[in-house]
Amino acid sequence: MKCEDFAGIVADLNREGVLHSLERTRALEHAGDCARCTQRLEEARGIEAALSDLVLETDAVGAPESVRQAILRELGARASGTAAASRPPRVTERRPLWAWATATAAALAVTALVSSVLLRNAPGSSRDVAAPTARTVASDAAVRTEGDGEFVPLQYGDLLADSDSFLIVRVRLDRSRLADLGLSVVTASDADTVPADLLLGQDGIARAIRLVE
Amino acid sequence: MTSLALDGGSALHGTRGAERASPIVREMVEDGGPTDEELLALLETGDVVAFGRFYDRFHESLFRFALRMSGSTSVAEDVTQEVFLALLDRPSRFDRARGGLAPYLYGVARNKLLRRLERDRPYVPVELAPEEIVPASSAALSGLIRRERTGLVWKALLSLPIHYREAVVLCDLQRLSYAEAAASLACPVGTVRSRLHRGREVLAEKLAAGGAFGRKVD
Repeated sequence: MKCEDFAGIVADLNREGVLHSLERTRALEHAGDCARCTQRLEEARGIEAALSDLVLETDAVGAPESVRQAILRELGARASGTAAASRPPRVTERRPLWAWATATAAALAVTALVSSVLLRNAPGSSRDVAAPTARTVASDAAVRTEGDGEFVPLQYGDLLADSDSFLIVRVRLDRSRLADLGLSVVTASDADTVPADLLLGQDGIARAIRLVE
Repeated sequence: MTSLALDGGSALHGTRGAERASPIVREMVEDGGPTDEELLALLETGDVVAFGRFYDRFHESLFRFALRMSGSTSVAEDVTQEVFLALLDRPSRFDRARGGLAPYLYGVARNKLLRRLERDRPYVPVELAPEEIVPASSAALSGLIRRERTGLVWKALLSLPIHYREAVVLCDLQRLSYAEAAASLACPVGTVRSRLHRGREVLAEKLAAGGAFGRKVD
């Protein structure tokens, strides 16, 4: 075996199912005769030991129960119809989400009956997940999507790709804030604020904005 | 909320018969339950019990992947949540012909994670992230030394370019096979191997420079 061949497989020596036993034996024999490849082997083993420690350390850290609860809350929020109702028209509709939302709402209702104390405390102890926020903004801004302007992306990348659901929230923004966003506003009004629709991802981050005529 | 938002501005097999999959994937899918397809079908009908089983099957691995990639428990929690919501929202996006469910979920997690890391990059000094983890080890000297070394390793890992880091995390920490990692990253197996090879080289250089190899733990 040549040194360059050994260098190409040294990371696989302890990896299950990659090398044939004969190939592995030859590699180790080569390392025994080659100082440089012995060093490579020791280095690889050092990396593996170091990474093993990191695996042990991080295996002790698990996802908290709040993550599961946050997902259930989000599904429960969808059961109320707020998130689905305010989804922008360009998002392709396909889904069996109604079934999910209904079932989850039922599950949450049962949970509420047997764990009322827990549920009363849940909103105060929850992380800043999308569901409670979605309910709040939806009740205020609901489905006012009749604005005929085009949405302008506020982030680089795909506006809609790989996102789950969206809210459109009508707000009033300072003109200076719009200028910061690179939007110039010329209207007949002297008001300091301008009505606009924000397209929010379910993470609460604004993805796009459109000015309301 | 509005102002905050503006400021923030292969070789894989299904549930059963996964004998050729990596140990971690076998662990994820072999619990004697329904196949991936069966589970997904149940999820699409709104079966909450199926969701619990699905969550129990995958969430720890996904959480640890995000944690190891980001060094942040809060990012890992958010990404884990987003992955499940994405699948529940659009289960039809999973294409069995392109690989198993586990690599698909890793791929979704990776995309979510990259987006999050890109968004947080100006605000979160990556070298501080590992300190968010408080290990439950004793105060014994060997434990302290090991923890210190682990901190150096994680710091070095987090400083790797992202395409090297994800190869190291998927293959060396999550113990995915090359084929599984390739399916997750949507790239050829050869690319995974070369990135892993180079990633480990860079990691070794960083660890040597940081003195992590200079202390014998055992």
